[in-house]
Amino acid sequence: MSSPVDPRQDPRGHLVRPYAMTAGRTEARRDLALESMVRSTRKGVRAAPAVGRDRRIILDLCTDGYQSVAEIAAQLGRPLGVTRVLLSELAEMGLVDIEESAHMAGGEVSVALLERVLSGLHKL
Amino acid sequence: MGSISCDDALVPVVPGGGVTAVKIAVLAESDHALRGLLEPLSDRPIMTVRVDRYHDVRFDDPVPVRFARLDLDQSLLLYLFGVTRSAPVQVVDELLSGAVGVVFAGSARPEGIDLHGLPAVHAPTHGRVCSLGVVDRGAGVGRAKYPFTSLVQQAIARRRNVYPCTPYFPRRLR
Repeated sequence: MSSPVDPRQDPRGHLVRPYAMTAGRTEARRDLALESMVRSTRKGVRAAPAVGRDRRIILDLCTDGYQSVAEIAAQLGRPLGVTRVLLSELAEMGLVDIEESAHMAGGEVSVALLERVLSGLHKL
Repeated sequence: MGSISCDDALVPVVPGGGVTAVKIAVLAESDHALRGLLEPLSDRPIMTVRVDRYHDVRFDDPVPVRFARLDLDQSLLLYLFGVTRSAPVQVVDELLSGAVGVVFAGSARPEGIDLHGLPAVHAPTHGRVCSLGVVDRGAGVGRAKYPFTSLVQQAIARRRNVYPCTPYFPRRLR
């Protein structure tokens, strides 16, 4: 029988379960699409140094402009579910603004918006 | 009464201010095909987000989803989210939810996936597009973006026409 791996020997450092980062919460109170856009508020920028590592990284990432939920999760290196919980918590505290995706805001992407997408794709 | 100068009518451009994001899903036959389709289009490295596999067991064994962000204009972003066909149905549903449509990257359309009536196109990834990748980014943009322009055109046609047009698939796939 193999002996359990000593956690102190793991090259990734000290490991914890993802829900340890969300104080046990596993579900976001707000429905966030992958492409919902997030930006730090002024209150968020001021609060960043005092909110803990992951929340501070999110607030720093979103200080200069909008980032999508997917980009935040990718750069934070956390699963989408964990990131959603953290973001909904930050939104409740007024530390980030969240702009819903075109789909979630209006039900269906409009023809005018699709024409802008098409025009943008042609210009690439 | 104070006068209003021309400068008062100018507003600073805030990067990312009032942005709108639109999503397209990509289902690829392989990770190679997926990267071959996304990398030529994006001027920054494509990213990976880990998406939860189960709705009832949160945070358990998340699945990697690759995505590219295309800044189409100052206030419009297009996100291309892609997985391989072996991805669990919950993750595919996450990508399809709210998407403009689906691009199938690879040799054949997968079976058993409910597209929820979304428009779909097929993008053959053989030849140049597939082999370009990071090495020759830019040279294959025209070819790589064709499935996406085709898909958006189809989505526009559907919204304008009460009778949706038939999705285009190459003859051998009909």
